[in-house]
Amino acid sequence: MELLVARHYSSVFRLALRMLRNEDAASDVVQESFLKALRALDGFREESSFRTWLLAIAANEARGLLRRGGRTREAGLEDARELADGNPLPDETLAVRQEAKKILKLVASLPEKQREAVSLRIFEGLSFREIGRLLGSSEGAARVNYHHGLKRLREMLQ
Amino acid sequence: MTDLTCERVRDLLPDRYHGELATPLQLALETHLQGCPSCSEEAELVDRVWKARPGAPEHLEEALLVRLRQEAGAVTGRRGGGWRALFGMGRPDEARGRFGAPSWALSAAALLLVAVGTRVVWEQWRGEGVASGGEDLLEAESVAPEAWLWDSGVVAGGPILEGLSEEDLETLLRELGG
Repeated sequence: MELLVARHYSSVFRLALRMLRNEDAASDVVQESFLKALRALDGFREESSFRTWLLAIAANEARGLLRRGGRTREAGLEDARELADGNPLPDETLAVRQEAKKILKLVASLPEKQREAVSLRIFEGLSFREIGRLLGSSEGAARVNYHHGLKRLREMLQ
Repeated sequence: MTDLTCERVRDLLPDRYHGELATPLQLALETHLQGCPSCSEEAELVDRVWKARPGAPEHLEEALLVRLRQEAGAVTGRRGGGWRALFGMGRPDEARGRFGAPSWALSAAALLLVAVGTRVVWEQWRGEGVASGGEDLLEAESVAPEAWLWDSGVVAGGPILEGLSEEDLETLLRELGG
């Protein structure tokens, strides 16, 4: 169990934070997602990877929370980086952290499907097929969204 | 490995960070990047995005582990022994035993084997009754048949099933199976 948490916790947290833009809500979603996964483990049919399955649970949890209207403070991935960087690595300079914050802000400003495709492909290493499954679209659509997202990022960075 | 197209290379770039590329493919990809400025530029962008990847707060991970351990402990407790567990009458989400068979099936199988085992004992006892005398046999037949169905463990060789855990039932099945 500890291994599963260590391996997948960050992925689930990132997805929840992107969807909810609120770190408290994201933390709640992460807890609920792992609990649901633990309870439903018998029903895991291994048609997708465990991570994709877990992320799907988290996405459903986050959507449910959004529908119920539970939000407080706005936050984004760049804030998540600050939360996680409470103890920055010795070799990580201020410039590196500022660059990271800038990139994350730009990723967050992408249209939703492009943002998710870029984040899930690069941060989580999901395949286009897995991304399509998670976002309720096709593999082809996931690929297109990813490449368009990267193109927009390039334009914003120039 | 044949040369990769730019389209294929750009699709594969994120996999460099997740250990998903087989060595020959990785080599082909690096070779392509060395000779293609536009793909190399894209690789640089993907690298910048990857390096910006945020982690998750450690204290929240600890809190999650505590919560999961509590939940796992509660689930194990509910799956303990007792007649409800024996007859699979626990929570609906606890239907399955260790080997994936429903609890009720395991219990039923154990009961059936005990019944068969007891019947064998009864037959042997009956055989000895015939040798000793006909009246004894008749008397035994009139008394014994009901006892083994609702026994409280008094029939020789018949174990008390109540309170047995699934592990004990499985052991019993193995022993009865010989």
